[in-house]
Amino acid sequence: MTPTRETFGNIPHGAVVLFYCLTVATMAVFAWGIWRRFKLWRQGAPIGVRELIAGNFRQICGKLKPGLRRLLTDGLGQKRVRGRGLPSWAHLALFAGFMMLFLGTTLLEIDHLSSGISEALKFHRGTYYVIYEFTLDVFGLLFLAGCILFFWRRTRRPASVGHRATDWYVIISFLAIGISGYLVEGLRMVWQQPTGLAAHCSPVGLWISHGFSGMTEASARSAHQVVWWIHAVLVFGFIASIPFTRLLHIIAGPMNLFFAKPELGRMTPVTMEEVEKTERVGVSAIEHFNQQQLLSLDACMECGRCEEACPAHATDKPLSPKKVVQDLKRLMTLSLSVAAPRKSAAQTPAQESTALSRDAATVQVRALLDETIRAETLWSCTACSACVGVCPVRIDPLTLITDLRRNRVGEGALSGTAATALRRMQSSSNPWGLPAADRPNWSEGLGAPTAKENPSFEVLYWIGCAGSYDRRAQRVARAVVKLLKHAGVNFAILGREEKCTGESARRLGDEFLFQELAQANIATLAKYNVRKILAHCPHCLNSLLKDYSQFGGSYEVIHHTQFISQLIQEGRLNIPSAAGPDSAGAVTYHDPCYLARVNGIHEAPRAVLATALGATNDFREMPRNREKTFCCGAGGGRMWMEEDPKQRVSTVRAKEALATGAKTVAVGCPFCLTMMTDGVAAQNDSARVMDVAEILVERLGI
Amino acid sequence: MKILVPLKRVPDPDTKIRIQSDGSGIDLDGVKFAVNPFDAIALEEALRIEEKLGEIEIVVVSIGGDECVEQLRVGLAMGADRAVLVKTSESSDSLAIAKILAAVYQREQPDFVLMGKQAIDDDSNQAGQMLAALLGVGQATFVSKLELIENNTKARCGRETDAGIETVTVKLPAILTTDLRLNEPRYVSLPGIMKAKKKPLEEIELASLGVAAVSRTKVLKLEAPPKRKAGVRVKTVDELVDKLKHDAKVI
Repeated sequence: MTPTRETFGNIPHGAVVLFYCLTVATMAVFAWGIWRRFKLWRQGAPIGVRELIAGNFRQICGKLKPGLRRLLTDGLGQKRVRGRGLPSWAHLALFAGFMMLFLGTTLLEIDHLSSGISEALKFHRGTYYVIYEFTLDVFGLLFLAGCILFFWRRTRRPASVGHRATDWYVIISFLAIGISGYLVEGLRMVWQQPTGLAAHCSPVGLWISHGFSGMTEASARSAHQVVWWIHAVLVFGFIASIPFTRLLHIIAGPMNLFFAKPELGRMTPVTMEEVEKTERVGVSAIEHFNQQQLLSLDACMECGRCEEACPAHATDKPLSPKKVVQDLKRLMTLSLSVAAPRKSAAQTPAQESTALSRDAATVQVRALLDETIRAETLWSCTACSACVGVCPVRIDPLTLITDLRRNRVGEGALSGTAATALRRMQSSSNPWGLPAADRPNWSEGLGAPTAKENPSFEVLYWIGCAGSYDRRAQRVARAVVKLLKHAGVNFAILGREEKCTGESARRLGDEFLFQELAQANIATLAKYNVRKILAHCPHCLNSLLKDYSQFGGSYEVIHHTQFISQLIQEGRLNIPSAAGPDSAGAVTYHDPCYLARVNGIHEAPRAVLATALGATNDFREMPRNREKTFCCGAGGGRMWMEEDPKQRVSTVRAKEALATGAKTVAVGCPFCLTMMTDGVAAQNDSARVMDVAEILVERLGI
Repeated sequence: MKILVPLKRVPDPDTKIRIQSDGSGIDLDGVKFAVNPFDAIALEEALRIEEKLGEIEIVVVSIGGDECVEQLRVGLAMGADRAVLVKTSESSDSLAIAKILAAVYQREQPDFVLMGKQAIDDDSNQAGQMLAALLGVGQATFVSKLELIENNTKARCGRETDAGIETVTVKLPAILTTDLRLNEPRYVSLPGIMKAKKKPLEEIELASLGVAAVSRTKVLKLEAPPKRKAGVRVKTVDELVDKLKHDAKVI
């Protein structure tokens, strides 16, 4: 006999009809729930979903490709869920089990419908049946294992993992679905009594059926019916509850993976025309976010990875990226309940109530900035991008924050030292407010030619404001120039013509000050026909690379550690063969966020360090390194803000660096240099904080 | 309630000032201009009072040429409701300014005037006091803490003095001049200035105020302070003590 089983076997005809009625009802609840969320997402600024499917087949494929790839790797491949130990495995098990059971149920339904047309179309039999039953049995175990692990974790969840009462419903109903599924199978085997492969292809069911071995066929049949209904109702409950519980992430998560534009370090430009048209800059009401951003709020599962990675949160500042997302989500959901009928407000008696609900909507709008997201929250962000980097579904809390910052700055709600820095960028083209004419003073006596003096340069060395004006960072610029001259590199600097890149202005939310500076710099760079730029500041580097390309400035931008590493490889630096003096001691390296995480540059500085340390190489890695680096606290304009000594990000990072036993903390960013120096000093430690280039210069003795 | 806030156009405090070779004035080449920082503090305080009490009209006024419109727009962008430019091409000393402001005061009838304690260009620190005297109203200068009391009829002001904070209560209307530590003014970005273009800015000729604003002081010559001498690095504590005793004569 071919191994198979009858779909809806032992279920009376009336019950099957009832089952399908309930199925339709469940789908209706599900569809209504999703539609409600969909309407919320749609309120946002359009992201051009229609344009995505415009054009010829090839163009469409090209446009869909990145999103589909993310669905495959990050979604099906669970790439970004990994890396958290047991919970990651739990999710993988539950996800794999769920997907397989979902696929199995779908196939079963197709088989049932097709065999309703003709018995010849039934494929749920024979070898297929054996493989099917076995696979589902095994994946069912995975599903249950995932549920049990998650159940256990929920009883002892870390503070960063969000929790709602419905989470217990979800997890317990999942457990019950898994267990009742196996019971149904076991009981079915009691009355069906399959033999051979047909029995052994369902090992778990077979094992359970042994437990009911004393049962008569009749009682097994009635028990089967009861448990079958329990299983069915639980599944209906699960499907219907997706839009209303945390389960929503199984819809919104993949959708967000598809629509998200996940490039770290890139911001969306705003034009003056847009500002004139909308009479606002940035976001002051929930519907000012774009549709993808609103969708992303619903994709959040509150796993807390972002919160754990956030330097502001780690130092007790009033910011958690997860909370920002959740607070905005709550506001978005609220806005649904008060949303006024938008276009249907005709001249009717209902007009008054329309006006009333409009007022209610206005109240909500006002609540976004002062009540939902507080100013201190917005200004605590260091724009380090750690939250964006770790989110499994690619939610971007940073852009939510910078969009809100734009509005605050546009409305004049920023004051204090950061405001002073912006004012100085306006007036003196540098955040210190030092005379623009003094910009090249650092290079006195070094013989660094300006682009005017050496128009045939191969690479332009971009100094940045810190290298130009900060006494400590000036030494880094001098070290780099010494190395360039030592290797005989044909370079030039812009001298007085260089202005602040505007990077921190942009991240603070002053888009137009940034654009003003960017346009001036782009014009200067064009004047000298600059193609290749060398920068020791990762913030300048990122801005020149990713910000400036949005305004017509496209350059090859490389970090000084990359450039120096190339010089070493080409043998253009005379590295002494003898072991150098062990002045550096043990060395650790702090990865700058905008170098390692945002631009993926982390091996070049290590390579340069390895050369600089030579035979005495005692390099020690910090626990959080490379893309997982922890911010120094100076990004996102925080460099220009006062920080409570008890809440300094730099202290946390300096402790981590010193815990390696390092006597030298190497950095690759002038902001990190300042912050780590302060952090190490706060620990009363004598460790030196130096740029990678300075360590190499010390070794070369130049 | 109405608050009048005078804004003076001054060279940006972050600009390096160079004096013209003949000493007749400062070299304006490449110099950016800004709202006098103390006036910005005064306007910020007015805005904070408005945020607290609501329903306040804040009028900013500037005296000078068309270029002062730039600073008035900044004031409007910060949040002032209305701007008045008193047009004159004459340079005016403190008393002349006080007289013009007195005329503007009579025209506007504000509840009080909030202004910077001094302008950072000439650092005279006189206009506020003179204005109070001309109007015969009370004054509180160097205000670093401000509170409106008794149903907004009086202002309790913390004044910065050499000895510490002196608290005075002054009946309104009065002239209040602001010190550095009163607040940190908000930042004005480009979109804010664009938006402020829609706010009313009235230009009046000085003559129409009927004030004879003749400067009684004349700037004869400007001179840069002598360059600072380079410091001396001492090797030992003893040497430092010795130098402090004999060279600096401070101990």
